[in-house]
Amino acid sequence: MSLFGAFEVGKKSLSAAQLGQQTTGHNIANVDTEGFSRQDVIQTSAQPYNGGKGNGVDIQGIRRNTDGFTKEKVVGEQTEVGSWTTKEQVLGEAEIIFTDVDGNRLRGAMDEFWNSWNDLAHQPESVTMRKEVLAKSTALAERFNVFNARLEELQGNLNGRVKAKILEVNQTTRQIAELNKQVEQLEKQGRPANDARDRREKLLQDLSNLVEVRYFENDRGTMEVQIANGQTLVHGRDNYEVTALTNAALQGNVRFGLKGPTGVESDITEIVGGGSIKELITQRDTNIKGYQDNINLLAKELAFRVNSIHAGGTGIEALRYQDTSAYSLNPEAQGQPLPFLQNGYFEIKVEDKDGNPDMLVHVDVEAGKDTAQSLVEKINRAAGAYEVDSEGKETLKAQTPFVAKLNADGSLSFKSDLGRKFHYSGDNSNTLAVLGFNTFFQSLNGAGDIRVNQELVDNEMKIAAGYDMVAGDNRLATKMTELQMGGVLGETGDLSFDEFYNSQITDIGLKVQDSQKGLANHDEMLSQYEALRDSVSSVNLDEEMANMIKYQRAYESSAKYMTTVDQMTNTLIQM
Amino acid sequence: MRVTDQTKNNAVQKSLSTNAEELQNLMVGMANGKKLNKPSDDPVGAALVQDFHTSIDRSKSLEKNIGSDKVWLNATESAVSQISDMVLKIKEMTLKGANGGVTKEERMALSKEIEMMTQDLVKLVNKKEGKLFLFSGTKTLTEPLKLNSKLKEAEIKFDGLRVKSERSIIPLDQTHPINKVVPGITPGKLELLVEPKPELDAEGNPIPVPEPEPVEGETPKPKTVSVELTGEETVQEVVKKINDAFIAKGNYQEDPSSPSGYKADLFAQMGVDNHLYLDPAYDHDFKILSDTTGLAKGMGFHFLGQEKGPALGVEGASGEAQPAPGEAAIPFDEFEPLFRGYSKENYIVKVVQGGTYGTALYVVSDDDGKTWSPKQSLNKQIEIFNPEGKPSDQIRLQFEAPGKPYFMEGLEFRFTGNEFVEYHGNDVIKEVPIDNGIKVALNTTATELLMKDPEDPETVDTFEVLNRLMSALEEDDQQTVIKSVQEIDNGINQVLKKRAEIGSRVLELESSEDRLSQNIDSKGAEMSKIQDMDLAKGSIDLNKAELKHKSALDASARLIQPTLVQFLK
Repeated sequence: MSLFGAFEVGKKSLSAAQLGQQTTGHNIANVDTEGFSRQDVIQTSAQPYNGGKGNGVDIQGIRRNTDGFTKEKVVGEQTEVGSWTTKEQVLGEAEIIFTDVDGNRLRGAMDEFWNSWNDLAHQPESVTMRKEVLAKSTALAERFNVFNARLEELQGNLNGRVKAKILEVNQTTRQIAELNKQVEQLEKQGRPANDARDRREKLLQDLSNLVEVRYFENDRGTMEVQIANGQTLVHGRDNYEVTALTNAALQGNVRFGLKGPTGVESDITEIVGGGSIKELITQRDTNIKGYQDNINLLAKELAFRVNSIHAGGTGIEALRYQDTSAYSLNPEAQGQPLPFLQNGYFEIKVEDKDGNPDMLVHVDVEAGKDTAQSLVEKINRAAGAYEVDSEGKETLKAQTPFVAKLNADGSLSFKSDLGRKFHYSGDNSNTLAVLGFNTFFQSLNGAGDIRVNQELVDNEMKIAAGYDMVAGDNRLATKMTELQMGGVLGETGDLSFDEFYNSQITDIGLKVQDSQKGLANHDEMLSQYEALRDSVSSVNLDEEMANMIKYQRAYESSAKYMTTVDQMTNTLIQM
Repeated sequence: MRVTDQTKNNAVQKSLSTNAEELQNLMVGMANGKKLNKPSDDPVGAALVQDFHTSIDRSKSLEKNIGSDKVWLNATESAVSQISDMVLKIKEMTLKGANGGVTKEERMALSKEIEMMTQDLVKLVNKKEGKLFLFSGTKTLTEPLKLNSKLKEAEIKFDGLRVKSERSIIPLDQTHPINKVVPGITPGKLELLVEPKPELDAEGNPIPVPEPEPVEGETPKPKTVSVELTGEETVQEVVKKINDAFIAKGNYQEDPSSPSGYKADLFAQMGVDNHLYLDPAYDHDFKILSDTTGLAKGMGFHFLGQEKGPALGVEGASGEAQPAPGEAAIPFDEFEPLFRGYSKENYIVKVVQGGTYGTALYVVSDDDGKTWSPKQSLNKQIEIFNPEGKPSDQIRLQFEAPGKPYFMEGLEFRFTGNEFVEYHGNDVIKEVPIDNGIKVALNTTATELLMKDPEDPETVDTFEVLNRLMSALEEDDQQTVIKSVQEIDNGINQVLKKRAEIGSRVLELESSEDRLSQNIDSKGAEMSKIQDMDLAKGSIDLNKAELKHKSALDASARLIQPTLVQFLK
């Protein structure tokens, strides 16, 4: 070996120390970069020349310090954390709507509503108490409306979040595909693609938070990403977009779609195993929907029960010439048995123009049998509207003191004739409440559209506290207060309105607690996996400092070596 | 395990944020004093708190209402005690009246005095609390008692069509008005047509009746009746001729149900007002078809008594139909009937044989015409007895009109129940909720206080007793007065019993008030246990958490600071 060979050794040694220092610098620079894996230089002693003389150092390459197993765990746990975070967030938002511990929201409004009836039961003649009942029931209806609106708002909000997150998925998969391209190109040229891989893994983590994925690297170094059933999100340099599916039947509720290689959209909501998008949709369709349904049920049942008590009674002013039902039936429903009827009867009293009793219309009702049409006939029969003509045929009289009619729009109307007036006088069959006569609340859908009958809002003297227009009669109001404690809801029908609402509160409280615990568990697991990963991959500045000094020393020594070899060469020349 | 800056950093951040969260929760709790801020803080507790809230709110509402209920009961109690005082005073008066040494005049004066006191008693029962009457059941806006006048005008009913001549006959001679020849009549024939009223269809047009098939061997009943006059008749004779003509033509029907045994289609009558009346049967109309005697024209017939009816016309002598004047009511003012006395029953006095005082006959019904008494002779004053009625149920019908009016057959005088004191309230006892499921009766009715409850033999109709007492005093009937004393005593007992009952209700309300306020306190305490922060415990916890946080910060500071860099300088 010549002396110049020694120069060669020195040169290699210098550049190895320099590369080492540069890598240390790279590590220090990226100490806070998320997903960055610590790199180090792989050095080996160079292939010796003939005779086994040492030939200095060789750079094998720059290595990433990663542990495939822990990385996989981190990615997998991300899905769980994504699901639980979403669950906790959504339920937490719903919980705010239910937060009523001070008794000042829906439940408080219900309490005040019942108490106002209690007040009215004590002073049925009082205008003040009537105004109070009106104010409290209007407030209750509004609370129901607001409650429903906030749940609907939350639903809409969830749909918005699903859409935003779907965009995020597409952005992430596009970047992964892009990085796939870089890795493939770099590594084809034999250059390391460490940083690209780091970034790709970070993106995979992000993606996994949104949607549960399976992934593997193929021999070209590209990452294949799929959802649970093997449908592809990223294939080589291509990514396939997910979409927010929506159609008229879903009523604005979006679902999770995937545009496959052929460009056909398919619904993958059920296929996807987890992640925040799936959880958003699940929460929207189960818990939030459930609360909405239950609050609607509560409002509807409350309206119906209150109405069935109210309909047969009278306020201080209750006389009318005519009345039209609040609800309309489509032509098909007019011939079908009316729901919610009970066997019983209802009565309407007709007065002549001087206020003397003129006629009592008594109608017996058969549950499960009577239809709107049959009731109209029964009422008219009871009002003596039919007569037998000379041929023995029954005909309808042209003029009767009281007549019921099925209108073209499907509503029913009652009318008294020739200055006569009528008022309702008892109903134990629910008929009047079902049709919507003399109602207190009016509601078709439940919490969303419940409101106090406008007729009562306009004139509180029409609020029924008793029967037959006796001013001091409080029997109806007393009955109303008893409704508060009675069992009406639930599977066995023995939950009171309060108990039913309580069950909702407890339910959401428990669910939020559960989701908080679940989230904490998975958060903890994730941070443990991350700690494991970080212990392999992340940068320790002390280490890097030590390395820096190490490489500095190596460089100094190499330089010294070069100087020495140079002096040796000089010596040789001057010989 | 290899420790890196990242892991160090994560550990510090995690411990700091855990501590900060704990601190924040404690802080919020300490700040608003509540440990239960959302359902998830304590799901079961949150529901319990709702129930406590409901129970407390309800108790408060009931408490407030019990306050107003007590006001009502106290007002009732004081009114009832005034009522019992008043009845006591009346009793003292009665005792005076029962004394044998009292003269007839003094009894009369006592009667007047008791009448005044009865009026005061009614005023007391009609007492109001605010705008509501205390003793009228749930009809609180209706005055409970009405003291009726002893006199009542009778309602007159007559189903026939009454046709009255426009002009009276010889109005100047009141003594023998009808014995003179009718002025202005000439020999001739008066033709009258009587037929059943046509039935009306929906538009008010008469439905034509088909001609009946002639029956073999029977001559059809003539519709027209003609009366021939010589021109020399007095009014009495004219009346007789018209009536005879109708009977002779068979224009009457046998009617066993009618008190007179038959029912003619038309009767001619002379009224006390000197007008000539033609009264067809109630379901018949008639027309004057032709008149060559000048009677119809001379008397000036026109039609009364039908508000709306078929277009009837009088075809006078000229043969021209005259429109019927549309007068609204039958002027029955010639009778001026007046009922005197009190009775709960409704009576109908019906004339079954036309005539005047002494000749007319009447029957009486107390069951709306289902059964009738035997026929009696009608006089200027008649006593109406209800065989089962109480003595106080005795009423009298008297006719105030001067002269001798003519009472047509079928004329009815109706009397609707006219009690001494009428109760216009109802017997519904208002019950109000005062505690969960517990109700208390709030009101007292005038009937409970002063009237007879058929199911309770100890109760007395005090007003009936007073009514009888007053008549007895007026009529100087000492025995009845003595009997009344005992009855008034029973009445006082009835009032006092009610008064005691009202007192016990007030007590019940008060005990319920106590229960409710206890409930509010105990539920409040329970609720506080669940939802309120234990401040002492809270501040200890807060201190602990603070200490923990501080030491975490301290440790973090030491963990992060030292790096090799410092030592290399």
